[in-house]
Amino acid sequence: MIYRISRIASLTLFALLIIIPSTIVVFGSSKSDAEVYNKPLALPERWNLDNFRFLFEISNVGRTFINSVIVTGFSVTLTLILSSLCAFAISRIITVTGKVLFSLFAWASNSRTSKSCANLFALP
Amino acid sequence: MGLPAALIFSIFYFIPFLANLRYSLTKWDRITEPEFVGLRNFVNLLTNDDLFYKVLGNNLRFTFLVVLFQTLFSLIFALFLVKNSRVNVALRTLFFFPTILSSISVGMIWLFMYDPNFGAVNLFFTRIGLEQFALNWLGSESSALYAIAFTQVWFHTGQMMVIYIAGLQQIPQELYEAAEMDGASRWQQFRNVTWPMSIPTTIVVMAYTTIQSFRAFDLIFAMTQGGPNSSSNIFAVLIYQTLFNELRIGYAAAQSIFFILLLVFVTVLQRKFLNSRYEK
Repeated sequence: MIYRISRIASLTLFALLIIIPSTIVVFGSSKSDAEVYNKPLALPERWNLDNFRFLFEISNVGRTFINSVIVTGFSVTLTLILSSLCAFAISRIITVTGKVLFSLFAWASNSRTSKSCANLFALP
Repeated sequence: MGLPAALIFSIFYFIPFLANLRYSLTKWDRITEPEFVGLRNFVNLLTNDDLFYKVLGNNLRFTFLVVLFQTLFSLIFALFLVKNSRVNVALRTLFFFPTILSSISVGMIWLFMYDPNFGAVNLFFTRIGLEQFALNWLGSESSALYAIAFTQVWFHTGQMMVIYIAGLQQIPQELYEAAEMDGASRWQQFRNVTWPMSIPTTIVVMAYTTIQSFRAFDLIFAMTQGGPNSSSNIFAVLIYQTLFNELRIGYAAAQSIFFILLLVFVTVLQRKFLNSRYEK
């Protein structure tokens, strides 16, 4: 009984925590700026797609979308190819080389911030 | 056989790292020539930088809170949703939803939720009669870091929950049947079957969460930029600010080297601790 109540309570709570902010955003997409600030939780007074029209007409959303697709496509393809090849090699090279390489790779994937600093290397 | 890999690795990772090491020994603003200063950056960092220690404390608190609550909540939700019923699958999808959002969108959503004037969080607390909780969540020094930690947990719990569910479904059903035959209560089943069998998953989840939260950047950058008065600043953001706002590249390089050492230290410590628990 305690189990069922706590289950339902916690699941409902977290579901609401996800649904409410998402709904606010969806409603907000149909509101004017003044409406968003004055009545954040209310339903939009008039359902319309003006903000979306603005999005496509003014800001260059098509281009950014294509950029996203390019980045994702390249990184997924390359990651899949390289990491599967690497994993195979490392698991078969049980020598010292394999171990050293593995620890280096594991270390490198943790050092993103350091890399962002080192990227300056490429600048003039 | 390992040579090509070693070559590629050294070009893309090791040489930049060495470059970083070299810059950490210089004073450079990207305009004039780098000037060699020896270990002065590191000495300054450790002896003469209050902000650095403040950020260190923030970073450790943030990571501790996020790891604790994210692991706990993802385990709880995974336990509740481990069976493949239709409702459970729908809820899993819902809980995973924040993970597919981009972190800037999440930052914007919660920036709006936490807003002191028209945010839903304060509106909620006022409506249910808890006005004392209607704070300026991101604008006050005492609460900004915790508000962001909450958002981080909200953002990534679903992802960890999915890893946990995959781990929990690997536990053989016979163990539960045997436990039931022995008259074990639900708590005893969890204590003696589920928990010991899910420790490998816990190790993965905790290691991943630690790294993820230790170098968290995007949410903090989107929501407070480390503000007010650096009370929600953590290393990744600090390094960015030293690098691009103050243009102290040598100093930022020294900071990032210290950051990496700290991250390696924390990860190794955690692995040691968790693995010893696992072997026991």
